[in-house]
Amino acid sequence: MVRPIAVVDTDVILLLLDTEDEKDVRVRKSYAELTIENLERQKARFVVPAPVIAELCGNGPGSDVVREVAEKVFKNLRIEVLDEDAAVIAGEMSRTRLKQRQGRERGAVKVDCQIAGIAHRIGAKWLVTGNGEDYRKCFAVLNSPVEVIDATQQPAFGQQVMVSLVKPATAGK
Amino acid sequence: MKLTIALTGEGITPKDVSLRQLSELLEATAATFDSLAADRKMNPPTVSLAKVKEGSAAYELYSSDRQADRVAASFVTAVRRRGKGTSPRTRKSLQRMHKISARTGSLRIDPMESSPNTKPIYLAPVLVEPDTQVEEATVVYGRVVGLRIDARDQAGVTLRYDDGGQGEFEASLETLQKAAGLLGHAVAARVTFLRGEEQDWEGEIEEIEERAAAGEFMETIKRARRELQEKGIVIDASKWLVERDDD
Repeated sequence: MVRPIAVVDTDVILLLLDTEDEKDVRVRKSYAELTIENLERQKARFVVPAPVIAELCGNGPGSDVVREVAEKVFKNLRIEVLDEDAAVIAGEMSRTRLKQRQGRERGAVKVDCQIAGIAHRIGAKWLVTGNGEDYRKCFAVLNSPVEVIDATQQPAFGQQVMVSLVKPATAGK
Repeated sequence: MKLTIALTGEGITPKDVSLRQLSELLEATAATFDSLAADRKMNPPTVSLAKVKEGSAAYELYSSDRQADRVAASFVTAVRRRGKGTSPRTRKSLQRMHKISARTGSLRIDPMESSPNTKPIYLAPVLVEPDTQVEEATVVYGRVVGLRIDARDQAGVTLRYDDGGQGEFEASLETLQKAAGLLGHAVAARVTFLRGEEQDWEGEIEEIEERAAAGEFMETIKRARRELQEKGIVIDASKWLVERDDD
């Protein structure tokens, strides 16, 4: 049986690697963990697109540390490259999305489109992200069947199975 | 399956064909059959030498495998079309057959009796495929399910992809040895594909590494996080996310 593919976005990996457990991160982190565990139960195969690694290694505080961690973590995971087909898809998405970016930085929109392009190209079933709204717009350009999962928010209707697993969000805070 | 290959020319008999040349020719023929079977995602048939005919150094090949007829029909088509539309590996084997036979005479193929067109055909030099020009490197994920090494030390590794399907890639001996240790394991492999206008062909396998089995994502992340904490390395996602949101 071919396992369904779940593509994981940068913010979800960052949350999962977070060592600080700050109040504003903790809730999102537990939602992300639950989402991943739920997908693991559905036998998902997790895929990290190469542009996600570029984002993790390329900017932000402590990127050297993250780079080192990324090398260790991603060595064991499936990394999907931006090949020619994915690049064509990403280009088509970004052509539309850049016209309606509403103040968002061009580079960020392009990276989102590259990640979405890879997800569409490899026939992913899910894209797991904390930025669902933008990705839905990317996929809408191609009417793509990839389902966007908001991993850092309270599960919506249809994901109630996870709600019962979530500990009180503000406990101890 | 019954198929005859014959070295033809004025007065050529089996005595004119040295053992070395015959063994090379039969090996190249077997390699062509293997390659055509791989092209059609079939198991290679076991082909044996059934008879040697005196007249024109004709060698009757035989196989009782079920898929052998289809592979033999592909062989005849490939010879008729001078390798057009076949994989680079098949074309290489056909070219080798032509080169070996040309030392003595022309190579004639007598198609099977069951074939609709039983007229003998001659093996001509293989056509150069003008449309196979783009070589693309990528990483594929799957399991090592097969290893091959022929009499000329040409090696191949077969990978069954996670997404379904499989491909056989040419490999160096070093890569073959590494792949042998990973037989049955989940791997990530850097490979090349030859992109044609109508069809793609597997190229070479450049690097192969074992990877964690699917479904270990959260475990891998948790392990990394524990390691970070033990080393006192801080990753503060809140700062990162704020910076990203500011973008």
